[in-house]
Amino acid sequence: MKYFRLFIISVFGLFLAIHVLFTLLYVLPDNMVPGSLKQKSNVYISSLFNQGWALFAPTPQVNKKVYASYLGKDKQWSAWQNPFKKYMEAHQQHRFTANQKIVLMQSSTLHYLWFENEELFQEKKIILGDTNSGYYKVLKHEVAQELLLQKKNFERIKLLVEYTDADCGNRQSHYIYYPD
Amino acid sequence: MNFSNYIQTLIEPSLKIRRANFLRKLLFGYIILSFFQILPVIEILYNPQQSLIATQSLCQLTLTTCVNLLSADMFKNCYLFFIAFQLAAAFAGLFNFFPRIMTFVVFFTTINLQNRIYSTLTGGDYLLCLLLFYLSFVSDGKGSKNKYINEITNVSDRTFILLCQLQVLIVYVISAIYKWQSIEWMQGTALQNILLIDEYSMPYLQNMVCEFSWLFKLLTWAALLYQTLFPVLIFAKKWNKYVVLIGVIFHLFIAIAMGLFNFSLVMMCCYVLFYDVETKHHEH
Repeated sequence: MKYFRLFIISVFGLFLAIHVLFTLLYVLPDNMVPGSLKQKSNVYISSLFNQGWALFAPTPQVNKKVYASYLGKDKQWSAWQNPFKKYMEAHQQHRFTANQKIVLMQSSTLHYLWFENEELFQEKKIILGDTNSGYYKVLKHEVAQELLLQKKNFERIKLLVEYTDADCGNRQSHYIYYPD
Repeated sequence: MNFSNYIQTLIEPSLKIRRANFLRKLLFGYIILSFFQILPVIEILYNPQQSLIATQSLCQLTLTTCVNLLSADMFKNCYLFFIAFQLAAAFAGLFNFFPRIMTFVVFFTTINLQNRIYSTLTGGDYLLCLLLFYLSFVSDGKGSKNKYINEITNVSDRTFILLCQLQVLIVYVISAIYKWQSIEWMQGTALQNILLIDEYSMPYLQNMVCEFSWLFKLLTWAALLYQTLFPVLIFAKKWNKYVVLIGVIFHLFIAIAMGLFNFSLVMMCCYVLFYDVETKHHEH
């Protein structure tokens, strides 16, 4: 009985130690864990135990908006409009609604596009976006689906993404233009 | 305490089993609440023909596919079944019907539903899945007639309840480490920066952060101090209730001011694992 107990405790204890160790390797900042160990923890953690706890460190620096213009059936390009504006306004008025999810979806896509183009923004304020980018395709899908939900009939879409410094004083803007 | 006494303690039922089962029910309640929250936009999140969220086509049978079934061609249209199973299992679990199996069903359906809307997820969603997985191995505390099974169950309960607690501590510790390395948190401008972002703020708050920047500097450092000290003070009997109380206020602020309602709700549920009710009960 004594050995049975020891065996059970050892098995569970070992699992606990390994699991916590891999979790820590996965979630600790890159500058604290060697890359090779990070990759090993990735194999164990990413599918089932995926997590990340940077939680606003670093803090976001820009406000992000996407504007769309579409070519209608009448062969006229529409005026630029922010198709997700209503979700943002609703989210700011009522906190416990699913608008939060749509707002975060938008924010997340635009955040990755910002990082993809961050170097180019150091040289120019308006850049031509790469329409082969995966994040652009995700964004275009979001906008196209939203326009369809708004019952807008379109043949083509062009997008303009605006990033404005979140600052109390001087607010500069950067733009990415994605032609159709 | 000698070694054999220590072993004896480990195979006895955990004193925290009631807290873990209470957490389980809170999470099931949260799942049901979340369903009503997403109900108005369920089609634009999950319906493959209308979804705003782009998906891929998975076909190989791997662990990744098993938790991304709604991205597999075969199951893309089955989101309503997943939601139905998730809700049925959550309701059954609330009434103590096979709690471990129901928790696993809720975990499995939740992780699949969440992974389909990957770009909308917050830390609360990840934490919810992790806790559901760990709680799938925690019994309802009733025990079995078989002595061997009983001992295995007790050790399993202790291990996975400890894992739930460690997971919450990991959230605080890791988040604090990142913040200590961030210049905005050190300078005290972090909260101001965050509240100037539209999706984490409200228009009148954005005016306020610029007018009373000193106040938000203090709040930034207070938040950093709280996250850093949480893993230590939560275990100090003298401080326990104050840490929980401050935590609830902290997360209510995150929920209302920053609009991260779901994240805050899950974090507040986790305090059940740490609030020292039993000790206070024994003291009386």
